[in-house]
Amino acid sequence: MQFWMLLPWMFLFSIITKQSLANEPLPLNDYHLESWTTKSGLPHNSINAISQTSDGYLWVATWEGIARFNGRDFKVFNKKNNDVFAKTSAISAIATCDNSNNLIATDIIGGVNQFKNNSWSKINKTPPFARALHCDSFNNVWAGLDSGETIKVSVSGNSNIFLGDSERSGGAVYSILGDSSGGVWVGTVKSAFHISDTLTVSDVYQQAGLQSQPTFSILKDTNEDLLLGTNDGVYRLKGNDLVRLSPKLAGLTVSYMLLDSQHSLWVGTINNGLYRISQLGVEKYTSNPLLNNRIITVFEDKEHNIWVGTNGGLMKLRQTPFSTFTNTRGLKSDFIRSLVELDNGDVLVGSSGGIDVIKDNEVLPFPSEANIVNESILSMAKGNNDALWIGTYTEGLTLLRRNNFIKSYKRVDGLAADEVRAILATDDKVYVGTSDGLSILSDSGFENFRIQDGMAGNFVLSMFQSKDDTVWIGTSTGINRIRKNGNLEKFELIDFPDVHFIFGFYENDESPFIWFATDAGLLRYNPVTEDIFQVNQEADLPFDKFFGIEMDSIGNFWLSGNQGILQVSESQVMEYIDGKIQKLDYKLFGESDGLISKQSNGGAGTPIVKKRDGSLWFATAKGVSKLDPDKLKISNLSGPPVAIEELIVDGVSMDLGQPIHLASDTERVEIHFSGLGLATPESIHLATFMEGIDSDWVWSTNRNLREYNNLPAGHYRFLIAAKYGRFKNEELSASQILEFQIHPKFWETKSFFITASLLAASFLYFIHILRLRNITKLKAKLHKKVAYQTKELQRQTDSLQEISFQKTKLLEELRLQSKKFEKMALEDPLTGLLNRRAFDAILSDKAAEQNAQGLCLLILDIDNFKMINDRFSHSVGDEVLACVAHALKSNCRDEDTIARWGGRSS
Amino acid sequence: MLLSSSDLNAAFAFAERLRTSIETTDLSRFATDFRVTVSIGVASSKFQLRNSQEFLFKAADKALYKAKELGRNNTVIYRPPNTANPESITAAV
Repeated sequence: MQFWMLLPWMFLFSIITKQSLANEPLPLNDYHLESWTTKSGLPHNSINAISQTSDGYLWVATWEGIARFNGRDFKVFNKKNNDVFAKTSAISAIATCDNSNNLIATDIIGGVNQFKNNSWSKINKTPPFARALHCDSFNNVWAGLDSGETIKVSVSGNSNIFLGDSERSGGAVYSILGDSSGGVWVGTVKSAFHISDTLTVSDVYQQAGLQSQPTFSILKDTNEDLLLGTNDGVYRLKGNDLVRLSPKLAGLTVSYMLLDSQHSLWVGTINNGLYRISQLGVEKYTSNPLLNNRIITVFEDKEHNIWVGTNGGLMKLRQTPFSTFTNTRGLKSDFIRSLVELDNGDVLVGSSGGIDVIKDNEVLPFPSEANIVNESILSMAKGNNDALWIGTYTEGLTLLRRNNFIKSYKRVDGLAADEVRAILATDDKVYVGTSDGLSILSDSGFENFRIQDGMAGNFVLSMFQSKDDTVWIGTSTGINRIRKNGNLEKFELIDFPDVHFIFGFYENDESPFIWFATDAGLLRYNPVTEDIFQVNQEADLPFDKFFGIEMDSIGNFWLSGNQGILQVSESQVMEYIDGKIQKLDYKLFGESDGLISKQSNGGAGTPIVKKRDGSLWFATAKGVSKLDPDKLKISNLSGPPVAIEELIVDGVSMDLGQPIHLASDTERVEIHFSGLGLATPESIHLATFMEGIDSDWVWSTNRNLREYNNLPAGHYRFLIAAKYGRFKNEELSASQILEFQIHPKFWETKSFFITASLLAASFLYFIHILRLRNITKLKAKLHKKVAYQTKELQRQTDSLQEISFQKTKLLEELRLQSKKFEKMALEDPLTGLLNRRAFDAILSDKAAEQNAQGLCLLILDIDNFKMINDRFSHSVGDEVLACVAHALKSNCRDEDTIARWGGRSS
Repeated sequence: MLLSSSDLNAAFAFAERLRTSIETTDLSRFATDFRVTVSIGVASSKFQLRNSQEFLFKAADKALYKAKELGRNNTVIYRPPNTANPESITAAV
């Protein structure tokens, strides 16, 4: 008995060939799901088949046509736009042929259509409704029909070979799998068969002495054993033994199976969703209810995305660096505020809906009877003796011990406020940051601190104990600290007037620095020298309001904010502060990396937690996102292929399958192209270059179109390069080239040039003869003319000399005038002080040179000046201004600068 | 007014000197009780690393505003803002 229970598992693991644990697949429910329906451009929501051609396009067969997907949008081929589908657009099956260069599609009435060299053609015919389609290595197309027949059709010739019949196969053919010798395996509604290359048919089950079973899917595993997807789970045929693959699938009707490149088996069911059998065991996808639909087909593309065709649309499952737990995975709420790692490695999640626990990748309810479990949580902290302190939005502070309720504290109990945003539990005290001051709880009760008691602000956002036992308190208006002597002191940030909110603190054992995450960048504080440096958007960061700060085990800072999560290496930040580099090289993670929302949360609790296993957990507005920094390599995909989607010449789409010759009177050329990356199409960057026309590569991130007008005749090469993520110039190399020719106009041709040259030469000769005859006549006339003109020239020279003298005089006057204007442009005419423009220029110069000693800026404003103007007159006002200006001038040193700056004098 | 090589104490002293000098300027030729006073905001760029120009203006302007608020005829040195605005935090939470 025990042996029989073990057996399925032994076989299960033998699916997987020797793989190292480092290549362990991602837990199924960590896959990121995206979906497309008719709303996003699909012709129909029921997906009959999925395939990919070698150029990179994904193809989807539906009842309303076949859709080609480039990662962003679908191009639909159907009866409306293609004659091949004139009779019907209902495509029941597709398969690739000829090393995936061509696509074969069967329509419901039996047409076999091929997409080759960028156009569709009808290549053959079968009886109606092929549900299964296979193209073998000899380019024969095998079609399994609803009638029970399997047909072999040659692409090159017309020979149709009919095999089997409905009586024998028992009904519809659902699956065809090629064997290595030109035959196929066929799964039907009654049984499974093998058809050899010589067309001998045998029943797979009967051959092994077994009872036939409906078989909707057939595969071969890596050991060349047959896997059979039946109406009672998956079986493996090992010799003559039929072995159930997993008891979990017993009783389920399998609609489709796929063995992926990691040797995991994906199993789609008729009404029970999607399963995967891998090193991690048998898992069911439950992260998104969309996959509870009927699974019709499963496909793995070249980038290892798993595509699932259902009767409710097309889905993509992708391995992303981040995996997100949300409401659909069991959390009480998606709005997460605080995270804590428990001693057993579980992660405690505090959200607007209460507290949950994430244990071994699964969301579990927090095992406590306390009411706090369903409150809106702001902050959480572990304390001594299994204490767990929990801060809420409206219900104050609660203490749990071993998950049991011990005590709760509210304003009436002496707590500063009921909104508890940050908690720090030290050996003898609990520091409680509230929306209205800091409370310190000790054996003698609460002691409260507000602005009047020395707090930088009453709104506490964050707390932290550094290794020298200093307690740091971040508020919405600056920082306080409590050093060992126990006194609360303000930590001055006078040099950083743009810093207000202190959201988080970080330090590690390797360096002396303490880092502050603020609303105006990252601050680095050196406790020894007391220096503070600011790193903000000037370092080329995309944003600088940071809620959370953590460091991974390889020295990268992780900074969370409203626009996503930033990764930047600590050593780079140090080099930037030392002035060795001017820009930081960062990585920004967002929705395409597995975050459901890139908006990270902060301002309460602990928004980032680094677990002892190295994983980082982030609180976001849409769930808890987990990152295993080791898995980051997944996102380093190589450049996606590039496709020329369309060449439109003067409004007409050109056939790209042929060499392209454009007429001499071509005016407008439009090139549409696309990076065919299916993993994260939104992060593809494209660069294009038309040789001889463009002076440099042209970037196109959003608009995948280039237009050229009135190109001269010649041979053209249009280069396209594509990459996931930001490009560096040195990485540019074309991955697709479009070549075309524009014919010369008739007067630009060679023969025209020769004819025209000969004509011109004879014409010139004729003119020459004529001229020779005229020249003699003209000579006499000229002599007379020369004498007269010499006289005239002398007269003109004299008058020019006079004009030149007048001009010099005028220029001198202009120079004096412009000097006057220049002075006026820099001076305030009333006071004789410099004006604002001049002052700004001087300040900018001095700011650059005087940095070491420092500058002081005084802005001086005459009190009630408007009243003076009103009471006396504007002329008195002007005189007062002049008096004040005089007082300023006489009190000033030469090196100081005074100016009248707009309405004020400064 | 821009002072070179001055620290905040010197700048403050200087500003006070200016302020008093203007306050005591004889303007009786306009009206017998006529007196002009000024408010002065002072900011130093001493430790500011980046953006010092913008920072200086912002800071001095804030100080000036404070001086006006304190009843005019005053000199104020820039200090960081000291009042909380708890409402604005809700956007960050």
